[in-house]
Amino acid sequence: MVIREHTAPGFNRPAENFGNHVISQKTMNEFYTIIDIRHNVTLQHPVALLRSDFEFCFDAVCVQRDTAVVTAVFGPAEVKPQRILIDKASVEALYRPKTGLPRVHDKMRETLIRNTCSTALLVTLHPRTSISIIVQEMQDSGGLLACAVNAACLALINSGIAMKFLVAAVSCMIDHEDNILIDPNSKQLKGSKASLTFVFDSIKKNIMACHTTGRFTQLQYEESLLKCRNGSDKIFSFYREIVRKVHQEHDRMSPTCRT
Amino acid sequence: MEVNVGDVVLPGDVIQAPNTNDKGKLILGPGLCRHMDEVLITTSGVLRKKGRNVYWVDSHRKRYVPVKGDTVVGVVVNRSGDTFKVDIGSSEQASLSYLAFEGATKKNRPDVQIGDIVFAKLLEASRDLEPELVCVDSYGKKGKLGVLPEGGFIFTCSLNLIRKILNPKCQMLKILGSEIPYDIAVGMNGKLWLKTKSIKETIAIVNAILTAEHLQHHEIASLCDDVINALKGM
Repeated sequence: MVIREHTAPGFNRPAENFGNHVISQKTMNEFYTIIDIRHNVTLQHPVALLRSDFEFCFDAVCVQRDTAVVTAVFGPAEVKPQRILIDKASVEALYRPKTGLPRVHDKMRETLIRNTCSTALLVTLHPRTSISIIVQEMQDSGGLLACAVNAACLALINSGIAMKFLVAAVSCMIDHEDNILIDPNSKQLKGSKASLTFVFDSIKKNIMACHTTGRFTQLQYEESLLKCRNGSDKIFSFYREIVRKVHQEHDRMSPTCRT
Repeated sequence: MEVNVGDVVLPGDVIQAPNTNDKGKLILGPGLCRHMDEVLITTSGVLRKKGRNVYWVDSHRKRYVPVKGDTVVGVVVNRSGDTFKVDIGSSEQASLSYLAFEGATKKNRPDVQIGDIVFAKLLEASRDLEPELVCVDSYGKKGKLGVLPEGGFIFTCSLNLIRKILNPKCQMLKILGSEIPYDIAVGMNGKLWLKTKSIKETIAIVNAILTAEHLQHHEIASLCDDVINALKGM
């Protein structure tokens, strides 16, 4: 079995190390998803994602600059009797931190991902089933929540589950000089007054979820919302690019895949 | 965003109004749904059209969702009273009545054991009901359906690959069959059952089928030749 490696020039991220070891052994065609909202550069060699040998499991590796998250979607599958919903699928999100057991702030992320995804999914199409979204944190260099939401959406795209629309999350921060910075890294976040994460839908670009910390004025909130909404366009066009590449990949001959 | 046939589509996209003068029906396949007067996309993939009015989205999914009329391969996992429970890879186990076999009566029960592999047709597949299987056609004849003989090998692959090898344009099973004698049952649920004379041949055919996932139709022919030559060389 030959594993194809797509390494973009200048793509020497710490995230790659674990990626090649842990994931390649499991997946045959492995790609990375790189989302860069501020620079268009990485979009030219976006190396997409997602599939595993696991029978019904779909993986997405989402690398947003130095932040990396691995997601899997399992379902529509059989559901435990206590979680059964007779008119729709029960959506659950499982968030695993890098080390240790999930804590309070992990549960918060879990809830946000679950609420966002259950709104985006056409849950009424699969009554009495469960759809699990498993999110494993790999590396946090700022904007982890946004990365997790985007990774969950990529995994849902790849699983082929029916959805009403896609979602995209963008994070931003306000520094002490009141400048708004889109998609900050952890170094920049140390000098922040407030940090905000917005989730948008793909049709009308409405807010689906919002998470904020710190103090800011209403004006600053509105301004950062506007900037993040503009940033989300890049993610949505990136999703379309990914799907196009995956379908081309399947249509094209790939001799390296021979086992 | 409005899309046309052949485009890459994402959930939430709208199909461009197909000729409004056309009063004929529009048939929506997988990945599409109607909302008010618009046709919306629900899964990501490539939009396809056949004939004048049949639309669907070509996507690469692996989870099987039962569809009425599909023929599937399943494993009998349980028996309760007069029905068998069959695992067909969907979210719920399908039920198979013991009367749904050729020549079966209340006194003459079919010989089905737990663990047997059955090749059956979906009689009922609704999201609100348990899927129901039958091993006879509407004339009460079994045709190719029924319990598959012992000694076969069962494996799973993606639903896209199943559609590919069952495509009339795909000569794969025919080319392999010209040199290697084998029995195969291909279920639309992504399960395949295969029986050959030797383990070597089974491995070769399974590998050939799984490799075809990423190949085009004309490349599959040379793959089959490679496999046949490798087998003969041994």
